[in-house]
Amino acid sequence: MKHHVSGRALVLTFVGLLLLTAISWLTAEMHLGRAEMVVALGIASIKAGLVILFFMHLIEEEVSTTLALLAALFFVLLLATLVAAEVATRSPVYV
Amino acid sequence: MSELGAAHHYGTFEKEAHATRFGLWIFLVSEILLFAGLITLYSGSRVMHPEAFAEGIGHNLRWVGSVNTLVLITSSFTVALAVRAAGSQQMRSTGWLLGVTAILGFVFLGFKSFEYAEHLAEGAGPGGDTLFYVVHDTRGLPVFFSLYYLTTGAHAFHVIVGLIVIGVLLAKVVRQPPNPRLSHQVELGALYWHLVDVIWIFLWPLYYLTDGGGG
Repeated sequence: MKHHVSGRALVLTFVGLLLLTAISWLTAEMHLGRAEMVVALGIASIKAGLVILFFMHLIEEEVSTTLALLAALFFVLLLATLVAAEVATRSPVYV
Repeated sequence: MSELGAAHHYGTFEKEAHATRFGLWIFLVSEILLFAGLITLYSGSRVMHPEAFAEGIGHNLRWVGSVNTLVLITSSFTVALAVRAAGSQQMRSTGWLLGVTAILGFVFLGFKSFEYAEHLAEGAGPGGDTLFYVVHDTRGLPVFFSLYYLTTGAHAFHVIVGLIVIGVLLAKVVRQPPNPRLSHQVELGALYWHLVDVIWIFLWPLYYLTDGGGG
């Protein structure tokens, strides 16, 4: 097995994840109102990116693997945002 | 490399490992699409019932969700270290690290069970036909809690499957002499465990943090 992701990189990823978790918790306590969801999901996306790139070694995988993942993420975004948009823009009659 | 017993149509074990890893990634991507359905239900229902979702999240035990986030992140780190140890054929370290990962998985399920028990004790179950929903009569609150049980339950089921995988790997690491095939199997099992962590990374803000600033 290859070892492109060093032990040091794994430790730094772990520390980064702990810091981002702390920041996410603090911002949730700050009651940011409407920005809350964007901030929380933004931090979650960075954390997920760290896990996928370094813990799951995507950074040393081939493009085909990244492509499969990106396609799935694109469909998740498409599905969740379009459904939310449809519900949000319904005429009050149909709610 | 024939002593590794690679299926002969792969030629070498490296090629087989490459193909199985890609196959596992495709499986993980299909798992993401499963949770995509649940997250889509969440986004649509939340737009429809913003007050109920804020109230429901305020009702969830944030400290339990947060501790569980730390538990799963730490388990992701230990299983990543296990893969590294297995890659250098240090099977003793691999075994210990898989063991710690499994313990953390059980800790996660323990906290989750505690939280479910707390909710059910006060009647905040799925379905919305208890006294709890008469007292808390915000429109859409039963939708929130039904989705909460469905989504976190689906995730907890994945943790249980991950624990079975880790358990099988641990038994193999203890019994078998170090070999590249076993190291590769540890790598595949770890990928699945990481995905379970990635899903929780998103469930934590969706079900514990975003209470609309109310609390």
